[in-house]
Amino acid sequence: MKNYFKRPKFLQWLVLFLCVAALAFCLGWLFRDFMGLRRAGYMRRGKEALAANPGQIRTWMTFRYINLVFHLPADYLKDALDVADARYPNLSISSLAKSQKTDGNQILQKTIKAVEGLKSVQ
Amino acid sequence: MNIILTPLLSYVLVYKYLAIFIITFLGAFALPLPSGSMLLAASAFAVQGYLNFWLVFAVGLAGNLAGDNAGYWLVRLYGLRVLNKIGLGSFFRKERLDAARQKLHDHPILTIFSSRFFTAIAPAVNVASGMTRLSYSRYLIFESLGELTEVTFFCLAGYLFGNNWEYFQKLSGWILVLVVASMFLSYFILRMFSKKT
Repeated sequence: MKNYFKRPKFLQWLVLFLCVAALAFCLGWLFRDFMGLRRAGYMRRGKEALAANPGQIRTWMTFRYINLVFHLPADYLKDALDVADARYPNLSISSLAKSQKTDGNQILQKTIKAVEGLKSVQ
Repeated sequence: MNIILTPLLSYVLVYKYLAIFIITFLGAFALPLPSGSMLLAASAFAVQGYLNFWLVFAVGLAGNLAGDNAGYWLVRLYGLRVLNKIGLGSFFRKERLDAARQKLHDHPILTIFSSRFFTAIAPAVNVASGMTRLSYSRYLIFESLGELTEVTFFCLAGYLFGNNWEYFQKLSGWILVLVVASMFLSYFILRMFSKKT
């Protein structure tokens, strides 16, 4: 019995089996997560795309980008947030917060509210 | 989100393709930047109409290739000279370099190709390849294939997820484990069967 377990052939096959089992486990979890995201609608199907959600706005986004994604008029957010910075719209929310010496999350919330406000009117 | 990634994304939105090239170049050359995640986001921006998808792909690939090759050639041309000047040249004796070169030469997929997926390891492999004077053609083939695979993977993920590219990070952990496990398994099987023959 001892000699059997010491044979390299047996150990090699055991390691191989464990590797394949681990791989199958990883594949299974990956497939489960993938299908979960697909069912929840987080993936594009063909040419369909989920409409951008104002809740997805982040502080690293620039106003030019936000205007494009949410189809906003060029100066809408400039007026809504009272932006005096000449870099607008090539200016991120966090950069605006730095220049105005305020908290980035405050500007983020104001931006989200402004976008939601316009979307509700349209 | 990654604390390094957020400012990089702002640069991409402001400076577009120039930022993509510089970030991928620096990530491949020396710095552990999340260039894969950046390409994922840039592809999503392209899907939304902010950038051009094929330009993102081409510039991302060009930046990665340029960074890798710059690292390889810099070390190959000046590496040993610099080490000798600072007194570390004796550590890198010819026998050690030859042995390391042979390992890289014999296992290019495990070393050069697979390291393209790990931004922390890739520059080290470039340095090792240059220092050991690994054949440039062999290095270039596996490095190019690796970068092409990596860039295609992240750009495709950005294309598929579009607006919701951040949710891809939920899957990326498992995908990385899968890639590493597959490579290890393939190598192990090859060794088993080559020993038998």
